Amino acid sequence: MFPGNKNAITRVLLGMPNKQKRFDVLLNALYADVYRYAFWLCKNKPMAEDLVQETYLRAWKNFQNLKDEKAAKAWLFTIVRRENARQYERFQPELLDASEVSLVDTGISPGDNSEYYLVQQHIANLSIEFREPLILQLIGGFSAGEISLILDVNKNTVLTRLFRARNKLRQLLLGKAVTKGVNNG
Amino acid sequence: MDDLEFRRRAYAEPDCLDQDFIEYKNSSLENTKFINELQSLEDKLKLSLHIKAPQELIENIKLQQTLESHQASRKNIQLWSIAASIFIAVLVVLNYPIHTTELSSEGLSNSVLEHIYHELDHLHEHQNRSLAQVNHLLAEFGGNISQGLGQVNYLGSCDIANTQGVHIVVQGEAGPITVMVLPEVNVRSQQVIRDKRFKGIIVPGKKGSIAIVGEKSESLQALKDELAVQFHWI
Repeated sequence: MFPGNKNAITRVLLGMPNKQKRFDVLLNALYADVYRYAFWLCKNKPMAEDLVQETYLRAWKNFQNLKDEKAAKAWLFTIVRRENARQYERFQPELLDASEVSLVDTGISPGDNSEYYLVQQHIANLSIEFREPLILQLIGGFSAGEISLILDVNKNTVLTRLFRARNKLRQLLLGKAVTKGVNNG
Repeated sequence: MDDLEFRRRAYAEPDCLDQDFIEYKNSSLENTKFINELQSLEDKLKLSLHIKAPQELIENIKLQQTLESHQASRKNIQLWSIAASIFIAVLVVLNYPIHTTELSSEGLSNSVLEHIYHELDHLHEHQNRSLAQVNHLLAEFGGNISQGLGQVNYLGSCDIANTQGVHIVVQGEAGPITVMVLPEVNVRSQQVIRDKRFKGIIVPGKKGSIAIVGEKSESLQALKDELAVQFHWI
């Protein structure tokens, strides 16, 4: 009644070693970006690690659903996104303010007065509505069209949110630069 | 292109390579300087986002995946053992047919109806989803639809009948029709769903089942026939 997909059946029949190899390639190539996306989504290191583990477990179990390995990154990022939403519904963590954001694993400490630390704080302080399209673009390397599919909003909305995210970050950083200039005389 | 459009596109996609954008950027020193500033910001953003991923995480993932594979293999061996035992038992009890399918089908039908009643709001939504959006979600659950289902008013994933599935609401003639794609939920034959308000069917497939439920006055045959041709398990 419902005709199956012969290519998918063929892939399954190729067996475990092939699946294992393909999975390992995806894991090694993409796990760092998957982690970065998870971290900047939830802004919490332990939670990000859980998200990534859960994502790859689901990916392994549903590996036969990945038709085109060029779409692997979008597929994995979508799973992270869904897992994050599920975790949020389950635990409803308190909103973290900037001082609680667990950025210590970046290796940059507030004491450095490092510009990167400031930028990280500003990114973390963006609301999720503006932060997520930005990190999908910069970490995932996705186009606005691809981001619209992942976020399930139209492309113009994505472009508007990217505009507002960068505009805000630029204003914040320019403000800091002006303040520094004034302080230095 | 004007200044406003140029700045809007620059902020949204600083690395834009469209010909008209590049030309506008090069058309004045001010524009070029603006893009250079944005590129500098872009470099800072990328470096700031590029945090180190913990190395032990990849080891944990590999370990977890290995454990999962072993468990799946052991489960297969156990299933074969159980299957062999059942085969022998069936040989013995062949003269005494046991009607178990009705109980299990009633359970699944009830689960589908409970879910619809629990999420009645979805019948009144107007999300107007595209085919691409439907397939983007279906892909996670092993499904694909070649052609549109008409007007899709709701699209989401849910826990239904002890599994994760896709919950779709399309516009029918008498009202909204619920379509639930249930991967790994297997029924031996087509099941009927019926109560005071709704009627429907659960259709078996290669890697799962599909439930189609509409108002009592709705004719579901056309949608059922359409899905038989257009829906594929991948």
